[in-house]
Amino acid sequence: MIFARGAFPAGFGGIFVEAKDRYLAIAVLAFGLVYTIAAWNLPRAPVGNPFGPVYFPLGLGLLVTIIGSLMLLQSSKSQVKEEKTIGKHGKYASRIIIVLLLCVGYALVFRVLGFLISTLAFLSAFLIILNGLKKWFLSVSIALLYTLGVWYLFEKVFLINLP
Amino acid sequence: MKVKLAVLIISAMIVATVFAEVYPSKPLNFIAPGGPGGGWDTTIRVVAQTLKETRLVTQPIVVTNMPGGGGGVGLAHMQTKKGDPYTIIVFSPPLLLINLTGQTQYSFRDLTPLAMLIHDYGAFAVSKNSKYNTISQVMDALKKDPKSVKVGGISAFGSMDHIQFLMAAKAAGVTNLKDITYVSFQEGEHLAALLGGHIDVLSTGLAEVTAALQTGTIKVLAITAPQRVHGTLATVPTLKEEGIDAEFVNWRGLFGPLEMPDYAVEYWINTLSKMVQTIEWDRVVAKYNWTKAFMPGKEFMNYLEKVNEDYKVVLKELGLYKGE
Amino acid sequence: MPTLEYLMYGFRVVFIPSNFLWLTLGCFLGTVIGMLPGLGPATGIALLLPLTFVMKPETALITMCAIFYGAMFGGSRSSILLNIPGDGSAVASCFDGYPMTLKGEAEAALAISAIASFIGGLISSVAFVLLALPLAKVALMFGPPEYFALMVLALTATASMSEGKILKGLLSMVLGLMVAMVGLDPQSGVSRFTFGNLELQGGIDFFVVIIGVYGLGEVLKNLEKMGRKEVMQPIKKKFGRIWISKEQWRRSIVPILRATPVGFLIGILPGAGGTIAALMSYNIEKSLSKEPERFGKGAIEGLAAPEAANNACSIGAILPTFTLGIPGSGTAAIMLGALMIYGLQPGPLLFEFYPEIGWGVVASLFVGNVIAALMNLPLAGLLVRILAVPPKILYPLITALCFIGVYAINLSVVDFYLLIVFGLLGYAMRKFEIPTAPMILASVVGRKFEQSFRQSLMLSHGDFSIFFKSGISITLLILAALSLIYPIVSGALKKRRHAI
Repeated sequence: MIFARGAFPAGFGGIFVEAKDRYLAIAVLAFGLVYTIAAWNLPRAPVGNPFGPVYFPLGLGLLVTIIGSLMLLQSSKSQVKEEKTIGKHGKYASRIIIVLLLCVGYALVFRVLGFLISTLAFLSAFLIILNGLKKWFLSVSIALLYTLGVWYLFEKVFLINLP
Repeated sequence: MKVKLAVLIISAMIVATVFAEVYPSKPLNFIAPGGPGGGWDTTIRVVAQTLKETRLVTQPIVVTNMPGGGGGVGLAHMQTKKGDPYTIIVFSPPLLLINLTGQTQYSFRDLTPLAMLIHDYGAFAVSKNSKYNTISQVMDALKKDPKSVKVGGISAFGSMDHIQFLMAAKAAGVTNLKDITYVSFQEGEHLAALLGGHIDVLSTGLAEVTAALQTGTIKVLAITAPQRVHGTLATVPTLKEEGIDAEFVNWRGLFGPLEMPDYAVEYWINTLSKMVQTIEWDRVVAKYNWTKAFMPGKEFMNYLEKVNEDYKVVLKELGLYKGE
Repeated sequence: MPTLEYLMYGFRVVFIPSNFLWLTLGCFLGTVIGMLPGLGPATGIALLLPLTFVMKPETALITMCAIFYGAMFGGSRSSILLNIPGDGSAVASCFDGYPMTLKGEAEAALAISAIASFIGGLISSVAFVLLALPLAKVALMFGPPEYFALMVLALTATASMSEGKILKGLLSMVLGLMVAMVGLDPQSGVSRFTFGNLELQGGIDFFVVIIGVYGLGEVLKNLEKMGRKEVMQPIKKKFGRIWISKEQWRRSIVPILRATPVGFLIGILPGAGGTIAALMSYNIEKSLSKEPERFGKGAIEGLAAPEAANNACSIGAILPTFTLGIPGSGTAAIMLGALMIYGLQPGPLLFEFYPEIGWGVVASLFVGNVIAALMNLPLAGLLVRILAVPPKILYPLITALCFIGVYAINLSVVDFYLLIVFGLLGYAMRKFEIPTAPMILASVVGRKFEQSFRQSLMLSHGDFSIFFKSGISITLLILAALSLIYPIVSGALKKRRHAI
């Protein structure tokens, strides 16, 4: 074994690897394999060297696979320090998910409703989520001022077409 | 109160935009499907400026560069703009070539031709210190060993800069055309690569070599025009004068996306036909050594159909055609 | 000495009231544009092009240059205050600039950023005057293999920067390169990893990656804090003078002087750009420092170095444009276009035939840097008050700005989804302690990295020895190997010492 315990270079990471790092290693390894296969299946170049567009992605896929294996090796060689933080995640995860959904919603309606309406709605909702329903008037006013300000700056000053 | 006011303001804005619906009522997006400083970029920026200068278009015109895939990226982008009256792109022979070589699934039929504006020609340049002084010397070296001369250009492999060189090489009697090294530089490093000796010959357009020729850093060996051009490049011989029976026309024109509304197509054919008659346009055409070649929508389309067949023949001979 | 005389003549050109006015306006416009995510100097110059018709050529060029380095001054404001880089070259300013803000040292951070930019710009202007022609020749020695080697060095040095996490650093780098693979292959036109999506064919703009990982990722991280019911006070309520202490100055001056030549030289190379310059100078400072552990926690020298480097780089980029007609960056290319529209031919002859233009522009580099620095100090005093806005209001507004900035790049909604994806990725990377800098750099240079690799092999007919044929590329590749091996070896040594 090249990487016997103790001889493992410290530069590669601490000896105590958290449990999440093991999951990460597995995920990286799996991703590396999938990417390598996908890279191999890329279309060949119609002109010039047919493998031209394939070499580089293929190399990247292999590199990720190697990195993933090394990470896995490293985490299995070290004692796993169990985390006790599970359970704490629930509290803030919901808020992040709501905001992400809000972002996706914004992307969905941006073209349909146009910049002004969709941004106003997005900002108002986001501000109300963080500041509570009671302060809705403040939230909506800030959203309105900001939306109009940005619209003026981009559309009129910088001549960038907003829908 | 504030909310009501805001609602009023917003509705007033919406009403205002609806009533101002005289085309074009918004800033226009002009797209150069290549990097800054290239032929497409120069053409569309010059058109945008001439339109402004002559006040033919008063709406702001924003030029965006979308390099990549020898124009394929810009062409793909236009497919996402179907029916949009505000997006216009410039193209030239690579539009047909990258389709014929199988590098893009889209063709000129996936755009709305508005007008052909100019003819440009190709130029073959070497560095000031190069051992080559005529294009025939380059061709002789290639005849001995096709790998001995490294050719560079801006367009992708199998596209315009590559093809125009191969056409000249073929006419000069070079065999093994496939063995000639061709490297594409799409981010504006082409001149640096030539001056630094990383490539031996640069195959590109007239505009690209004019500046460098005037500074005395390069020699232009030949141009692909049927006769000599005026201005800075007047001293450069044509391929035919050098005993190579080949020419290559680099037409450039403007296109809208597929399904561009008729009123917009009409507006542009009209406006562009007015633009090409102005002194301002004459001036820039002279400056860049272009040749005026206006041709409106329908005719332009027919022309494209015809040259597409011509290119097909050439590419088949060169073994680069990838259709049917 | 004729050079000095010419330069004095140039100064007289700059101080003509109309030129001076435009120079000031250009600096201001550049600073504002640089601060906004999604807008860079190229936008500013493109906006100005129609106006330049009515200007004299020298006025137009002076204004364009002013916008160019004004944006370099402005680009780091949002890096320092909000952890959102205004431009690729401002990414490195986040590393220590934002921690300084969190420590309550925003004033010093903003001040050193203006001061470092100023010194970097000034020294580079001198170098421009004295060394323009010989340096331009150096730039020509860089062909595809040399570019490849330079980027290998930049990437490995950045990946190995985070101590003890080389694997994660490399992982981050490869992810960035993978981002750059998406789209049509510039050489062959083959579409890669686009999943049939047309808008992805143009590739993923690295800007979306930056805004996603830093901007949106930062917002998500802070949402988490809010969810934990941690008290979310405004970051800062009391504001001091925008200035630095003697101690901070002492720490910064040497890094500034080291970073300037690095930035200037990288700027001269066409297409290398400010992101490499800033990150390389950061890497250099960190590896030379006696206390590398302070970096990333608000070390003022970690902010001063990249700031000096990116300004030096922007002036370096103008050099090949004027002397050889070769643009060093997209922005410089637009300037070149403007030169040609006036019928002016760039090159050494420009300085002979049109001294008012050539030397006027050079002199404007000096004057403009002073103006931009003077303008930035009071402006920073205003900007820093953003920190007094309660986070609950600030973060939604930042999120909206991220989206709009991203939209401004390609006018495409697909980039919105990419932004969300990269925001999540940035958040996840923070959770797993994966450094983000290598990914950003890789996504910026990835395309050119692969292209220079393939261009080299095409030139050599598939022979890999081309990468070891020139002294430049060999040196760069050896340095790259060292940058990877050194931390592993030194880590192992440290460990052995502990064992004994």
